[in-house]
Amino acid sequence: MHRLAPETKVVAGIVISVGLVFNPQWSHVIVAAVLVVAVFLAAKLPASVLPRVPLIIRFALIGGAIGAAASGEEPFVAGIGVGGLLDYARLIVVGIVMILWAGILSWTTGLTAVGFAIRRLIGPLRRVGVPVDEIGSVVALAVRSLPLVVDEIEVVNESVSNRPSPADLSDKPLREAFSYIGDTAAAVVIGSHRRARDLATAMVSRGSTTAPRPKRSGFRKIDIAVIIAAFALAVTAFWLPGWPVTIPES
Amino acid sequence: MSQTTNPPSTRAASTRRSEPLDAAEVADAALTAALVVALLAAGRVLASGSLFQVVASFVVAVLAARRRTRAVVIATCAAAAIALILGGLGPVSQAALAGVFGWCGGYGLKRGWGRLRSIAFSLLIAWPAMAGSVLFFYPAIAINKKLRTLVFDNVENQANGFGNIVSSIGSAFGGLGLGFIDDAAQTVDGWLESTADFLIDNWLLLIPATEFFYTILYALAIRAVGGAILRRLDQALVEPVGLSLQPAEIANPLPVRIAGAALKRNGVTVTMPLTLDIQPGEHVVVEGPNGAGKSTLLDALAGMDNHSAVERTGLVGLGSFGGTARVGQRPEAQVVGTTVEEDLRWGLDTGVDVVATLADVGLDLPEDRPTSELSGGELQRLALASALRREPKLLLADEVTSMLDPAEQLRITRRLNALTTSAVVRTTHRNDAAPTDRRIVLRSANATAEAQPDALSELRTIHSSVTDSRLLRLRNVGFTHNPTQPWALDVLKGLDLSIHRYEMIMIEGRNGSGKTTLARILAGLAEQTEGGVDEAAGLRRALAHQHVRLQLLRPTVSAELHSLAGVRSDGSDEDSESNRQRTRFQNLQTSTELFELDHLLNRRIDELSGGEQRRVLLAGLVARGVSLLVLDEPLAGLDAAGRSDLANTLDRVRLAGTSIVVVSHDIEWAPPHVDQRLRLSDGKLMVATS
Repeated sequence: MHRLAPETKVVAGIVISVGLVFNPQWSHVIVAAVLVVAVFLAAKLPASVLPRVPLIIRFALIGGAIGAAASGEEPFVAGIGVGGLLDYARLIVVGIVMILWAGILSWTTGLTAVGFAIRRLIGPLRRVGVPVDEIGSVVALAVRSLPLVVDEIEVVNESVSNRPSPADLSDKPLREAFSYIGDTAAAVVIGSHRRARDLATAMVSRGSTTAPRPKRSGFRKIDIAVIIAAFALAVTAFWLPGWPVTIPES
Repeated sequence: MSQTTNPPSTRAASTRRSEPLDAAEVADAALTAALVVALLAAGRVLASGSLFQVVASFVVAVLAARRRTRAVVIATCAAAAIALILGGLGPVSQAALAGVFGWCGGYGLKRGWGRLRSIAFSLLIAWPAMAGSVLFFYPAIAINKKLRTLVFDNVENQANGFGNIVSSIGSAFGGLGLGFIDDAAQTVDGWLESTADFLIDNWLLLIPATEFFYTILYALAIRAVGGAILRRLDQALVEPVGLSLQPAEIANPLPVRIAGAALKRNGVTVTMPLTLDIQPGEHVVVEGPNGAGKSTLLDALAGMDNHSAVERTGLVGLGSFGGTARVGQRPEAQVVGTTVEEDLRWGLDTGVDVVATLADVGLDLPEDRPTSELSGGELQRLALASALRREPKLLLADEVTSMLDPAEQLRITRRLNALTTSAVVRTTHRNDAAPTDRRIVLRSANATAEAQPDALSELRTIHSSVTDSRLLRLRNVGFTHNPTQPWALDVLKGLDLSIHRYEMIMIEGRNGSGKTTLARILAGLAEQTEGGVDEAAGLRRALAHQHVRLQLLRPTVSAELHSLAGVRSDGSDEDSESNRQRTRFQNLQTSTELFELDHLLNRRIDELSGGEQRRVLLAGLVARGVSLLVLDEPLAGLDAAGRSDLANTLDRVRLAGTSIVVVSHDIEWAPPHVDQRLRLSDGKLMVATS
């Protein structure tokens, strides 16, 4: 997984996600879920990379499950209607699989490689008149600036949260709070525009605003195989029997 | 025919519309895209996620109000692409929506439209986009019957399920003879089911209807808040005048003569009684304190500003091979590539031998190393390597050795002195000119006399709630970055440190030694992964960052001080009923006096110098009752005058009874009155020997 070219992971992830959205039946959902878990294990990612689900969302998920279970839809197992629960499980699994695909991509690929992958992927659009070089430069510079911007947001955020609450300091608390949001956003925007000016000066000093085209990626046979497999999965899933619909009703 | 009758201005505008982005537009678009991605990512983790999405649309609106639509479209595409890879399909639609709303709002701000017109425009453009939105999911549901069935089945199941629960609870009570509860339960059950049916039957109308109201809210919010941000931005930033590409096939930047009677910098005139001729191969060293106009002089020579003061016959060819190369101050602002290799190739058509080019400046880095991981000294040398690679006829180097240790500095200075084919103009605040160099000393035109620390003797009292003499104690503290991730990294191990009242401690460490992490732990902003931190009861701690400007939020000095100290700005706290408010008010008064800010109170934050901004921040923190103040890299980029100003400010902090920890990479200078100098290396603290 770590050896796949990043663009392969992007394309395969999108194909499988879109396929899932357009064809969320059990046959496809199960294949996609098994695949994503297999890839997760093959990439030797520790379980600790998985994001923690906030408590409020856990409660919501459990509540939803209770509601779905109580609907008592067909089919019946041991006299209890589990259809609602099954529908619910299917929807949740679709969501989890899509989040996992995006996660695996970002856990196995550095931010820098992500920037290069985007620029290589949009390369062919040059022929239809898309300003690929401009978008590519903006992507490259955005990726370059992202860690700095995240730091800046953190600093501003800390500065805000460590202050005495603005609502205590005015007779018009709502108005004060609004102006506070504006001030905070302004601090972030001004900081990033300073950086933009530095960046523009640096580009002018280099005599070019266009990022050099990225080098050819290490695209290998395995990459092509993975992309073909992803397409095959998404397409064949349409012709697979719609399993939950044809389940024999007891 | 119709083309010839067009007035020239509209023709210019229409050709400009399809022109590629210029440097300022590319940079603004890139930073906007980065901000949008960062805000959406932050919004995914935090509960107030939708607020972050609204702020993302403000950010795009600011871009749209200042730049062409082309820049907005490209920034939105870039943000969506990065969001797709980092977060999947959901964030893509969020980025696209921020782009659409932001563009509509920003366009109205650019034209100065009123409320009604802005709303109408948003309804015309953004509403269909939003209703056809959640740009991906809505069409997916509309075209795609399978997903629709699944979602609707689930909505129905939920309604039925909870209805069943309610009605069975109801019938249980009904069995107990409480028929009215049963009736109510049946009503709720029926209501739930009919609501679900209503939602499912009318989804095609309901989604656009809700989006209609969202659109109006967004339009109003962007007009109000986006407009306020734009006004602040205009006050804070002066557009650079000559920021355009000047590449040239055959560049001939020399000889050049500059008659710098009055150069302009950020719209302010710097008088410079100086005429300077530079011939090919000549080496010039420009010396002088911060603010004397050294960088302004170099930028003028680079053809970036003050064109009228510069006389040359050939083309300057900034950035071209064999033309003019410029390396500015602040290393992180000189590097444009995402990796070392990309940075070296930027703007050069010919192939670049990465290893040899880096070796020229004493660097040994893998070519795919992200530039965001480089230290200040490495960035400085990387930028210089890329300048040298251009074999320039004129090399302009502004303080390019400020982040290097003495041995590296010597090496780079020798390398520059050995250049025979290039003219070199460099600025320095160290006395390192070679005997053959021409020296030019600029004097500060508007030097202000600062009050000397000796003049401040009397101890002011800021009311603090801490009674212990020991404020903080670290016991065997360790820190590991990303402890749960495969790329976990030990930064600190086994640290012991006590900080007492009235103490000033300096912690030195090279870049990457973990000193910023230690600063954050000391300030209570990060938690150690091993060991313990004992804190005196009632202790308030704070961190002053290197870029102070980011910590100042309000527009004026007075508003900022009140906000930091938690005092109402209408003065009502002086006679407040509450003891706490009265104490805060008095603390603020004492602090304002102690830091001598009275004459600055009505000034705007963005008019202040960096030193004054730091004084405002520290005064506000002291007034809030912070008893332990940690400063991260306060020395970066300061010359002798800046350092003595900092020492002066720190003395005032000490007079207020606040303890100080200064964390710095600079091992050559420490403020006077430091009680302890420690060195952080390999994650461990030891007493500094110097």
